[in-house]
Amino acid sequence: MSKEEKAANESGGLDEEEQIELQLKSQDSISFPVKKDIAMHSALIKTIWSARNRIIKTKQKIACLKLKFNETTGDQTETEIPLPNVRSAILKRVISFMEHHHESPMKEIEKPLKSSNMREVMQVFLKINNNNNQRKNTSTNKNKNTKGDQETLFELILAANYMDIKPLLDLTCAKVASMLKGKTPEQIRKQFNIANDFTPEEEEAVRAENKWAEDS
Amino acid sequence: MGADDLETHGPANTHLPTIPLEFAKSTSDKKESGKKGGLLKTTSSLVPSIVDAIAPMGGEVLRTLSGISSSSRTSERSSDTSTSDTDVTAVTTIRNGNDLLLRAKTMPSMKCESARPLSLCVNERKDYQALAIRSVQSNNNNNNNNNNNNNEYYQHRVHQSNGQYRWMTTMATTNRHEPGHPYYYSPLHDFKEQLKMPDKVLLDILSFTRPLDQLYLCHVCKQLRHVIYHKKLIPGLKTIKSIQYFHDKYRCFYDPRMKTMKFSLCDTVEKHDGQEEIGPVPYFPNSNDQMSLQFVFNLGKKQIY
Repeated sequence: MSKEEKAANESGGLDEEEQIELQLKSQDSISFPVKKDIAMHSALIKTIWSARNRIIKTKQKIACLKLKFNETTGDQTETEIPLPNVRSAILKRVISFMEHHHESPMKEIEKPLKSSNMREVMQVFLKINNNNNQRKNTSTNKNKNTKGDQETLFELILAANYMDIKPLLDLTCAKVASMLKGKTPEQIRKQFNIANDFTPEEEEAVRAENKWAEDS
Repeated sequence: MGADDLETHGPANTHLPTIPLEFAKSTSDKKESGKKGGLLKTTSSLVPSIVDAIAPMGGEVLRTLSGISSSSRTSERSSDTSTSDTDVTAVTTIRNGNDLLLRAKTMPSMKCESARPLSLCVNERKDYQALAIRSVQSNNNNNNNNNNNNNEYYQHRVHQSNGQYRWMTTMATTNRHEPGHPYYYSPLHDFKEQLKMPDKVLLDILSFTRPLDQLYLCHVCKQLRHVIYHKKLIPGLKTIKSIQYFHDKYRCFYDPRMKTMKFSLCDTVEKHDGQEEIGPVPYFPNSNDQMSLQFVFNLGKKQIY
């Protein structure tokens, strides 16, 4: 085989590989088909996939089987990526995020946040979620939605952390940071349902520690 | 922020054996006599040039203690104790207008017999003089955590609940989990992890907040406080403690409006190896238990660290 043919085969192989659809399997055993190059936004999936490929190739070498790559990828078990820590509802959103930002990569969010208004930053993401979930915006459900959104947000953070998707992790963390900004400790506790576990003496001690910033 | 403001808060107490310092009442500045704060005695031949360099800047006269040999130290101390009933001090820099001064503040007598005096080491170079605030202790059998006889101490201000502050002297260390480290933050007792998030994620969230915002987040719950002050993965956290440290040590440079340090006089920190860094940075020359807190300030053509 000439060098040119070899290169053509290799490139052809790569194209074929890029067209592979992976099956992302959620905690509740629901599979979502995702194009491989989109799924590769997750470092976890990337690692799993490359490890799996290595194993396959090693097996092929050992068995001396001249199987084409397509034959192996046609097998459902070979393309399935189990994500046992992510619920299907959350995985759906994560996939939406990856699909959207595959075409238009997300800009890095500035640190620290200059404003507590994340609307503009989150706009794209919210649109995706709105389209997918068709959330109700009635005033009666507003509080419930807010709490639900918050839970979803934290689940998204955990999913982004687990799947190692940095842009999503940054975006969701920035959202939480914007919710913290400009609020008193009491307001933060109320918003995130955090109990004040300081004793009065400890609270006083913490206040005294930081007094230098207040009295200057 | 003037010298008088600092004087109203007197040093009250110390935790660890403190550093006895020789004091001598100023001969050149008689206004100082009778005041609580004394002026450090000069003992090195290098010192007059430092004094000459800084004294004309107005306000008060700077006296530095430097290069005391162990043999001369004993005699000096004995003679000094006769002239002064105070033997512990905190050294504060005071900016008065365009003047930068180093001033010693005395504490009630708390003797530590084996301690060596705090010294302001003076170095002379071609175009500038340098001062290093460092404290050295040796032969202290009561407080021997290691075999190193050159344990160093530094002093920092601790706020109290009554609004005042006291000067605390701690043994210098490079371990930030020990009280002697400038970035040390005392731990509270065990806490329940309310926030079901890995520390890495919490730190990611906190990285989007300003360092001074993080101070207020410390009040929310113990877990957040722990993550903010004990994980120390966010560069901003260093900033908090740097600001606090410099605020305490060099309060005169603190801009209350901006809540930042203004280093109009100090732009450069020069390390011993010649590398330069912008901004004031605590300098730890030794990786082991010794630590010198050295800061370089530009004073026109002069630099003091």
